[in-house]
Amino acid sequence: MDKNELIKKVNSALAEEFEVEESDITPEANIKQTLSLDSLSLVDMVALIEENFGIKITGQEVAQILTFGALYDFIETKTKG
Amino acid sequence: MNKEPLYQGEKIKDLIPQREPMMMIDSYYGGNGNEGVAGLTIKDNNIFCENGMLHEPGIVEHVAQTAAAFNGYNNRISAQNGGEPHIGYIGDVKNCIINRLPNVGETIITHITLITRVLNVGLMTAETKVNDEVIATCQIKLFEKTD
Amino acid sequence: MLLDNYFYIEKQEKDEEDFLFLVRLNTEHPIFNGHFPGNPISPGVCNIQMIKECAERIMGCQLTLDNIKQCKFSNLIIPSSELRITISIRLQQIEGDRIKLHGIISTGDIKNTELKAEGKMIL
Repeated sequence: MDKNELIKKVNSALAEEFEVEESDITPEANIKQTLSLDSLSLVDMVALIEENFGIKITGQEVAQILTFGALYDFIETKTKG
Repeated sequence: MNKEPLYQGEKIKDLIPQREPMMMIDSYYGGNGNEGVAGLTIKDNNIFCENGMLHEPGIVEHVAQTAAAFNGYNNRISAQNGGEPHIGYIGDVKNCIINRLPNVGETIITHITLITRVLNVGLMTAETKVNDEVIATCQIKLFEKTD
Repeated sequence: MLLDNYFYIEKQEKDEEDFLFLVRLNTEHPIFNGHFPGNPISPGVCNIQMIKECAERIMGCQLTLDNIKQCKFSNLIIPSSELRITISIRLQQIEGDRIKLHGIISTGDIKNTELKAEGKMIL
């Protein structure tokens, strides 16, 4: 999967689950603010990404992923590895 | 799942922090890796029984305590703390479908699967059966207080 | 099940579409001995049941919530005699004996529990 495909897949999955516009999801945007995440819905987001990409994200890792751009990079690295 | 419970009766208190009259599991069967199984034989003095049936709060609490026992069991075997089970709270419940309320005298068995865990929140799915009949399914998040 | 034993309704009123119940907990209830010893917290499932029993009072019949679409417990309810709890309920009959229920438990400005469910009336 190339990076553009990956970004598209992430954005459409998140937009659907969290009922936001895909256009609000930009690489610089803060994930928690954009998706209105609290500690519970953050778990839903992790589960969604894990399921869609077949990867595991630890609590420490997720704490360091602040923007969508960082999330795309993280998924790209994990799926390559 | 093991045929015989690994924990039952008073020993259940080693796995979950709830005490009477809020204990909604009476046996824990273990499970592989990300799975856990617990049971409850419904007694007529159960605090959530009325008209001979266990009502929604009893079923959901039974599911939550199956999840709590799964955490308690795994903490014990990994000997992270070995001591008292952690207090935990339900964070949310989603898509909980109850096909029927179980009757006094029936034994409900719940099978939970851990989907993911982020810090101290575990997301699990659950299926509750009486024999082979699925009486309830749901998704639950459990906060575990670890300090 | 829990009304007049675990919790008491002190006032009931209607605000446009919503029914509002002002309730208080019985801090001596045995449930608090077991959940948890020395650390009483209203169990999430009791919060669901309180919402349901308020809805039953509006409907005038028993309900079974056979589809809890989502129930979020954002803040714990720690029982105390001063605690004033508001339960707001919005009900909608969907078809036949089925109803849609939206209930919120709050204490002051804090939202404690929000339930979205469907159920059937036991007539």
